[in-house]
Amino acid sequence: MKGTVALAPMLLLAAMAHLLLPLGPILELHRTDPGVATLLLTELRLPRTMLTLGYGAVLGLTGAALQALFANPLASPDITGSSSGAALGAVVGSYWLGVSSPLALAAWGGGGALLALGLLLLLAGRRATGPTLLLAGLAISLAAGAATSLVLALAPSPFAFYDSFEWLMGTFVDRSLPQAAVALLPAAVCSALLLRRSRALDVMALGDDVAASLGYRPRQLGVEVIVLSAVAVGACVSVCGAIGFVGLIAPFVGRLMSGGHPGRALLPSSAIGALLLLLADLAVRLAPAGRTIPVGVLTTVVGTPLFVWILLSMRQRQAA
Amino acid sequence: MTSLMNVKAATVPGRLNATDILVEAGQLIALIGPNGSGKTSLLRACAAIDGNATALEVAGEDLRTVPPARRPRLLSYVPASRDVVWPISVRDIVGLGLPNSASDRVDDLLDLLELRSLADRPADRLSTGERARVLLARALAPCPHVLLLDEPLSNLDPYWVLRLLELLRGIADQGAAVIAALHDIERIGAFDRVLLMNQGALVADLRPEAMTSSPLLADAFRLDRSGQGWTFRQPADPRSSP
Repeated sequence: MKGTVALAPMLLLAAMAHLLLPLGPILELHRTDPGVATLLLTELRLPRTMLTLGYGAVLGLTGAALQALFANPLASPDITGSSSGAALGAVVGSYWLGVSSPLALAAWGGGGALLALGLLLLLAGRRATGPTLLLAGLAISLAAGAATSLVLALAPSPFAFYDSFEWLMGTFVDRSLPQAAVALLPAAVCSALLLRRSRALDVMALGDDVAASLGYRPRQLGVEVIVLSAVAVGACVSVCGAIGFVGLIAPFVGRLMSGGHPGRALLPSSAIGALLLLLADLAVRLAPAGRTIPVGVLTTVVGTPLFVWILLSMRQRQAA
Repeated sequence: MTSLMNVKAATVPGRLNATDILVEAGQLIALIGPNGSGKTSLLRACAAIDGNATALEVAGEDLRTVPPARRPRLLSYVPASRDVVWPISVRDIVGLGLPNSASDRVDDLLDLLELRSLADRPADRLSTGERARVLLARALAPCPHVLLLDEPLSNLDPYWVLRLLELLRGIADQGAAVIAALHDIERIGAFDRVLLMNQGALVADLRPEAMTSSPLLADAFRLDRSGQGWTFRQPADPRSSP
């Protein structure tokens, strides 16, 4: 718990850095035209910082909740296919049905994520072992990815492919305050509801039967966690695209900070997720000028070796 | 006098036919039966995990409607699985579901089950037998009126089999009741009452001496008495049946 409290100032610091860096252009603008400098901060940088912070927190939180539910440290919105499902939903809505309002797009994203998680339950079942969960999630991710490419290739607009590239890779560039609101309001509501379930998720560590014998309802809890996670992730994906690995890594650190308790790890995991994504997006923005890398590419590049490390440590545990 | 536990028409579709059980305070009850006879289903139905029942009361309260906060005090259930997925410390597992103020109770249980030296170890790194003790301590922590144990003696070494039987007797003497599903029919002598399951139904409810000599036991397990031990009946030749 002490660790979580220490996270708060770190998070604040990272958010301030994300908002203010690079400082040069702001100071320069401030000298010539203070009004524009303020606009730059509130209209351009603030939505980006809010989205990065919020999306990171959602990824950490939903990752931790899904891992607690599936009793599996490999569960996360991206590995279980809900991020790619959300991307597919948003692409179908945007490029085929011509949906343009951020709110409607978010609904399409949420629907896609929900469909993917429902499919995962059908394919792997709850209490799926690591390999089954991974395989089912991989199958859904691949299918959703292929379907997304197909939808884009067949889209009425010939530029669909090119124009969706950056978004599909996950990015926070040029998002407006209303867009941030569309992603973050449902995400905040779902996150609050998920946090209220952390005690129940702690008890799930003893298995469904023991939780049920203590008066919890594992089946109902499962549906709630899945729906809340899907809506939260779907809303963020529909605005910023799918971002990998944060939802997998953050809960791993979060549990280290909460004595291994999967439910108590929800809050620290969300703080870690926000911190990771703020730092990643800051790194992308401060990178030498030229082409900008989508932040999702960076998290995947950094996340893959960490993922391999988690797999190896699991293997070691099984051998012990 | 009302019973400590009153179960009426507990049913799990396809696994357990409607079963009634009355349990008195202080009773140590063994639940036996061949593989797949419905022992676990009966325990799960009694814990209101699965199936349904027309009555499911412990100490006069309906298990299905009692607020979750009071429920641990009524009944604890320990499944046959000893899995703990997360690296939670032994001390935390034992205290899971207790109020934070109950650390004295946790310490007592750690001592009782000789887990003190393992208290800060992550439970997922323990041996199966050690984990069995941790999960039992967790179940005992709220001082439940009724303790439902699925295969409590498996994975335990002979010392712990004997210690556990004595410990369960002590719990029963304090006014609780224990129902334990067992595989080892040689152990039923340590219990007050033995329930025999076969093909999803409760077929006998006897004292251990009567159960041991009952033809119902022999038929259910497809065994025959031979001196001090048992011999199994040769399976019928499948080709001889039409």
